[in-house]
Amino acid sequence: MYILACLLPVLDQSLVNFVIALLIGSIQVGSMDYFIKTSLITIGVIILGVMLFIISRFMRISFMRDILLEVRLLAFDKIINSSYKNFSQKSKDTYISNLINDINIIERDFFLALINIIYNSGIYIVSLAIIAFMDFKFALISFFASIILFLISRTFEKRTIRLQEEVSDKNEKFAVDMSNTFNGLEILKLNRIEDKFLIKALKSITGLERKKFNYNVYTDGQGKIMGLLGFAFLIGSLIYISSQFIEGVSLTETAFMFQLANGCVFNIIAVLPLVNQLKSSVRIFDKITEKEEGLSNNFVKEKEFIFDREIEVKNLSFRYGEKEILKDISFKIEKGKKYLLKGASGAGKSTLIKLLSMIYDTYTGEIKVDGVDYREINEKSLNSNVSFIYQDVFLFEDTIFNNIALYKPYTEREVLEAANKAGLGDLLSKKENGIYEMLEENGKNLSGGERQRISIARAIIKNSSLLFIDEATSSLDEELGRKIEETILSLDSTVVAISHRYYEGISEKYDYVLEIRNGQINQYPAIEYFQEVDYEKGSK
Amino acid sequence: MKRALNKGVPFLILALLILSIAVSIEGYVSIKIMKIIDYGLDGNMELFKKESFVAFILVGILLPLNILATVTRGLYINKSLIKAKVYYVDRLFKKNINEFQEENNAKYLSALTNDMNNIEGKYLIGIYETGASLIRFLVSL
Repeated sequence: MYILACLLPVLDQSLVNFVIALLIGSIQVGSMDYFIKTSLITIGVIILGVMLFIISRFMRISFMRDILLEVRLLAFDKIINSSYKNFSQKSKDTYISNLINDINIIERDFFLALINIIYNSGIYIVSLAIIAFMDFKFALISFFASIILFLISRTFEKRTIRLQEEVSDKNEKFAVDMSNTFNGLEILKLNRIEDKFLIKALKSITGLERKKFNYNVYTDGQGKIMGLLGFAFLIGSLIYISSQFIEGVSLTETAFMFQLANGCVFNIIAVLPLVNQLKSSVRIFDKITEKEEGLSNNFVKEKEFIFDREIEVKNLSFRYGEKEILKDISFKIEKGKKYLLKGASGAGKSTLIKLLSMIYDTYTGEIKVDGVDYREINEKSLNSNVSFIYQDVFLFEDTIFNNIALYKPYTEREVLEAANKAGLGDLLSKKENGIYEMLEENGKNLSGGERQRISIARAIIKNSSLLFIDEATSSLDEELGRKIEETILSLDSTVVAISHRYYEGISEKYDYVLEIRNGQINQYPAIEYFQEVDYEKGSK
Repeated sequence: MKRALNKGVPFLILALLILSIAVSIEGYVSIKIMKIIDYGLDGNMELFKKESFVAFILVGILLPLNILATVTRGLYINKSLIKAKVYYVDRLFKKNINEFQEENNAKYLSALTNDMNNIEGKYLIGIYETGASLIRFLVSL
């Protein structure tokens, strides 16, 4: 439909060429009747042209709208469905840039290029076919001339694509830089270093605009060079056509041939830089929609995560580059028990949680859940059975209800129950709209404790069998930290938590302490561990 | 914002000035083509060749001029957009923390990407194209 819409103006242009030739020819005929007749035909063609234009425009716009929506969905689908491991390799602002800037590039360059390529190619083919019918030799010359022009244009292709990619990359960098600056502006201002970052932002703006300038000048410049070559061909055509006129060909035919030669050359010239532009846009399309290959192994990940008995870690080793973090460790996590991970900073506690939650899979040894190898388990299945509570909780600019339900179809009763279990009852009673109170950007209007409780409510409502907690209470005061820790330990889920804090009378409620030291892991009953710490008055 | 965009006006004038020279020569080339056709149809090959040669020379001059017009057009858009973005970011940095936090950061980012794309496509290029069309119209007259 889109191709048809782009070809409608080709029909119009061919008819216009013909009636202009008729009008010019009427001078040679010298009859008023003939002139009036051709004038009426011309008016008819003009009216038809207007109608064709409107029809073509409507058809094109609806196609563009549908395709752009599809591109946005594909790009969004790629981001949403990428594994956490792949997703976390880039800044989130890079994805925002893909969804905004790159789609703008496709909208502007791809469609503009495509419509003109179809239209100009249509004119070229129709003109060449008519010339071939009228004068085969001239058609052959025109065809070879266009091949030469095409080959010349090919020399610009690589650089056009490269420049377009550079613009896209700079757009990403710009989005990341600006987002970082905006997110940290409060800290910058409090530390009075905003001027430094302002200069950095200005550099980022200048860098991006320079790349855009290079691309625009290069693509427009191509058009000008090709135009000059086209003009050279046109003069050659004129010489040939004039010689035909001298040999007795009618003025109408000569004028028509000249217009067709024009259509043949200048339309193909217009097409060639656009082909390069189109290819560069297609590269951007591929970049934002092509699914990234997983970095992992050859295992088929089709098994479900079913945790009814235990997770067994056997002879597990893991390294970051040259640094070995975990060395041949073995332990078990029993269903329903609470585990506290201890160890010095950098010992590998967070790494172990990332291994147990499938974020890292480049380990040696085994992790098995109820006897099934982790590497065979589908990541989505694991994610639907586990929850995470981090020190920093991300909150959507939405209601408390949606922040707990995370847009899943839970009932109001279920959400309220989870909120109350997580200790949010007081907060909800103070809010005018209760569970439907709107949160500001990333929950600016909540305290640290309230944010953590929303995170706990998310885990409760999800009914996760396994809960990973990384320093959930470290930024809270003693009293609030105790309350949060108590809430976490009262849950039915299996808990694997990292915490540097010790809450007397509460930390002992953990079943086991897993202590990582020098890449090795030791397991202790929590009560014994804390008694020993207390006895030694220091860390174990 | 408009004041910031107006700082690109000298570049717009320069771009349109160079374009008007290029369009004038293009107009002159059209007259030459008209003569070439006349001489061709008359069978006067000597004058035909002479006019064709002059037309070629003029087109040769047109190439650097057109490229210069492209560069100055690019410069106009480049400078205007830099001024507009710098003005916007500078204004954001001048806000106090409370004022800044009144809006979502995504809105600021959207202004710098989506809105600036619209300013480029619909305002800056629009002004240039209007000027270019006017010049072409005047040269045709």
